[in-house]
Amino acid sequence: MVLLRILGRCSRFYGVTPFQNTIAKGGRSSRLVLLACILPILGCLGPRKEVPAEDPASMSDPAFQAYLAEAPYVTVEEAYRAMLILADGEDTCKTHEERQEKLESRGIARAAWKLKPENVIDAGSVSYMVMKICQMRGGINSTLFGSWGLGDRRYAMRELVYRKMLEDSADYQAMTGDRLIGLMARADDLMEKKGLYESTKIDLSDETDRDASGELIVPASPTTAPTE
Amino acid sequence: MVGAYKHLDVEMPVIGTVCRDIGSELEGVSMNACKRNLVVAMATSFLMSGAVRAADAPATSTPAPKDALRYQVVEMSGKVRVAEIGVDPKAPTGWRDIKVGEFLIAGQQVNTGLRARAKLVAVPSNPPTVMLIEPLTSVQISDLEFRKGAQGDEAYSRLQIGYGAVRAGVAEGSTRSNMEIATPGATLSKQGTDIFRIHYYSQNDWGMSLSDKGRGLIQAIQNRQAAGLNRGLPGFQSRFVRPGQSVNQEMLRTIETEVFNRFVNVNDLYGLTTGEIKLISLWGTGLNIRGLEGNIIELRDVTGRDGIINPEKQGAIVGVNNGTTLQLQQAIDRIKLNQRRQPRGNSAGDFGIGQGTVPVNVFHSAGKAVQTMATINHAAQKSAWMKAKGPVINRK
Repeated sequence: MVLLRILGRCSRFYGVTPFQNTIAKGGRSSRLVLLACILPILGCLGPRKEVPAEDPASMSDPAFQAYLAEAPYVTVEEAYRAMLILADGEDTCKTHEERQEKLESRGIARAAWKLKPENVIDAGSVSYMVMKICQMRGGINSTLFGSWGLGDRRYAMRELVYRKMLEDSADYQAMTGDRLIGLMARADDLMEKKGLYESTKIDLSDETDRDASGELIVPASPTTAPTE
Repeated sequence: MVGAYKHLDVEMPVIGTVCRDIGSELEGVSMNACKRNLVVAMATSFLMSGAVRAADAPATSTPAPKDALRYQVVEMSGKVRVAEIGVDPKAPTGWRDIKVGEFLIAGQQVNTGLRARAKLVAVPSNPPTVMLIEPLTSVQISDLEFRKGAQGDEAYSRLQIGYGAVRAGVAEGSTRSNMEIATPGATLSKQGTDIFRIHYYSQNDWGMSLSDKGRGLIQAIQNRQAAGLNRGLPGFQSRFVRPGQSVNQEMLRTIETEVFNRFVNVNDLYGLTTGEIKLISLWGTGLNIRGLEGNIIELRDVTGRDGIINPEKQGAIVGVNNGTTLQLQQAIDRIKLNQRRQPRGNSAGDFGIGQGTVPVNVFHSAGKAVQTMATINHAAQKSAWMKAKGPVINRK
């Protein structure tokens, strides 16, 4: 029961909390079964040790994306901003609270996660947000259990791994900047293919840039005066 | 390339992989030549440190001659920025948005965000070259010029990707194209290939691919030391990438679409075709020639690495990855001869179980271990063990 109380306090297991009373009323055997099935206690990720030289909050969206590519670890605040850029193409919010409210109201993030803005974000949380932004349904586990919170982030990550958008790792692993950039690039590509945002189809592929004989079609130079 | 990523503030290996296009003009290029070119590329990368590069970067105000090689933006979407090489991508100044029709020259870097793309063509278009910079990409153009190469005039271009993805294609022209796209994990070098794609996000996430209808070939040569994989193995390993194939950071083909390639279950003798039985009986390890019934697709040595390419020209001069050049049939004969010469303890195919000799520490005297080879005789050991155990008593 001590273990259950500890788990109940940890926001990662908010989906397990309703079971606390049931287990408490149940017999010894039910507690043993629960213990046997329990998920490992996960240490919550704390603040990153190294403070970046530049303040990412003051950067423009393009500069912020370049910053993410170099960041050793990504905080919750930075990840929320990145997710808004992925979802809307730009981030119009000024504070973390605005971003949090916007993401939670759209179902992209969950308030029950209780993530702190200065803490490093885990790969599972980012995976869940990307899955929601890309409007991916997920598998059976994600629908049955993830919908009400049990393993939502874990199953989201498994879905992204299956789709080869993210390399396999533990869902509680800290998210690094280069991984996030790679994931965002693939997510953006998926969103464009699904038509989730308006885009001019600029491509270079066999389907669009080859003539009937299979030769590469190289566009002609524009006739407008160049700007140097 | 260390300097190119200086703003990333991490130690990047100079060259993880050199990807070389072996087209029809490069038959017989040996591994030594590849290594030599790799050293040249590495030397070039050292010269591209931040201080040196900043000093060499051409000034924006100096216009390029009309016949100078440049890239022109023909299509774009979203926010695509350009600045001089050396400007920090995070800096608020030094960057400006590019427009359609604008020229990009050596010494500039391009940065695309999400939902942003830029399609460029080479001007003059000889050879015709098209390039697509994909979203979330940082690429810089360090060299872009026409020059006299070893085989005549060539369009010489060198690009470096900090992160992101680039696609490109070069059609045939009267001038050769000598393009090299480098990343911290791999360098793609080509001289007549379309349409290829290279992406890099981290040391554990990069890859190169050729489209299904692509032309040409790419050889990926990975510097194992740079990739942290040097565990007593040779400094370089190579992979060939053909149209429809790709290679990733594991130096494994992630996609293979060869018509004649299929999984052969060697345990199912009844399910094998005549050609497959012939393949297994002739080349028992299965690591040599792939392609059955005369269709030579590729040739590998006993380590499983690629030796040659160019399946169309059976009598062509080809290179094997020990640095020599042979005719195709000579290469096949040599591999078959090496197979027959392999020591009894060849572990290929048997997972090292149950044959050959193993090193055994037999004597240990005054702290000095003497290692000797001893043949393990399982039957003799078992017999000795049984004698020590005594007769088996029937407990029923």
